Amino acid sequence: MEVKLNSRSLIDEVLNDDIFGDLFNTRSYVHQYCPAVDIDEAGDSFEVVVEVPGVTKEDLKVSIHQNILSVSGKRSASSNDGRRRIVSEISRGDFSRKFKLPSTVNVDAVTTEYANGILRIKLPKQEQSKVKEIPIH
Amino acid sequence: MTLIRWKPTHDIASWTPMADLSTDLFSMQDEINRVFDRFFNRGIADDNNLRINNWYPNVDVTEKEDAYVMKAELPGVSKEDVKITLKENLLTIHGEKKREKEEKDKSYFRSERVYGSFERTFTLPSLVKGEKIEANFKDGVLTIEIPKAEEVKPKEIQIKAA
Repeated sequence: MEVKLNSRSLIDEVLNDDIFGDLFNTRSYVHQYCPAVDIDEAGDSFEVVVEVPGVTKEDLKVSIHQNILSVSGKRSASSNDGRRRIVSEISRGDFSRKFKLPSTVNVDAVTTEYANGILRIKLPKQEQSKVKEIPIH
Repeated sequence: MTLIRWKPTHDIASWTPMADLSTDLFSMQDEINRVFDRFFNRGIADDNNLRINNWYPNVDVTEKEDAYVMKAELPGVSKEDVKITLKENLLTIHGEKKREKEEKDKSYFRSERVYGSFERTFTLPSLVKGEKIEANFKDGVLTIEIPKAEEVKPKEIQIKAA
């Protein structure tokens, strides 16, 4: 059996077992824009809510590849044309967040909705994973 | 310099611990960065009052030749829940970010969004024309433009020939 001494692959292993685990390289310590995300499960679907104020729909990209959900985009810097900055807290630039989806997600039925700076991704569960109530006779 | 008590902004009660350790460390790092940023980047403009708020929206304030422009990130806040007030040259935005209506049997895998009341006050460097203030709200960003008062606009001074 091959023993992996590289500590990075050990972390990969741990992360790969995680449902909705945040993949390692998408959040860095460097000052980078990282939108806040809520993920919840209600009944027969999951919902991923991403706060991306100031990002236009055209600058947003949502994709799923091999059960990894990826939300990325960019927040363009507003044209400054000779303005002096007094307070500057809004971060700009590219962002990207990736989440590993549980296998119960029906990838073909995923829908998205974007309004008022909030992106909502609805991930329905596959038929057989929905909770089925069994009647008692 | 006033000390402001750090109030953790995550809703710990609804958290279901499914995240791995690295994510928790990153969010803690983020949280600490945010606290330090607020503490040290006070700058001339931000006069945070002593009221403890649940969260602080990120804000940009820029100065044009004839106006000040302020942008505040308020995703998920509805227009009715934000108030803007201007007193002389003190500009305040305050309001509340409400949770969407609670659904029963909802469990969280990840909860990074913050909710609750917020308030921020800024001292604009010079006098402004309050009655000409304009605000609009698009894509979760509130943009406020306030023209400067006439007296403080830069005026070119003619040099008379000798």
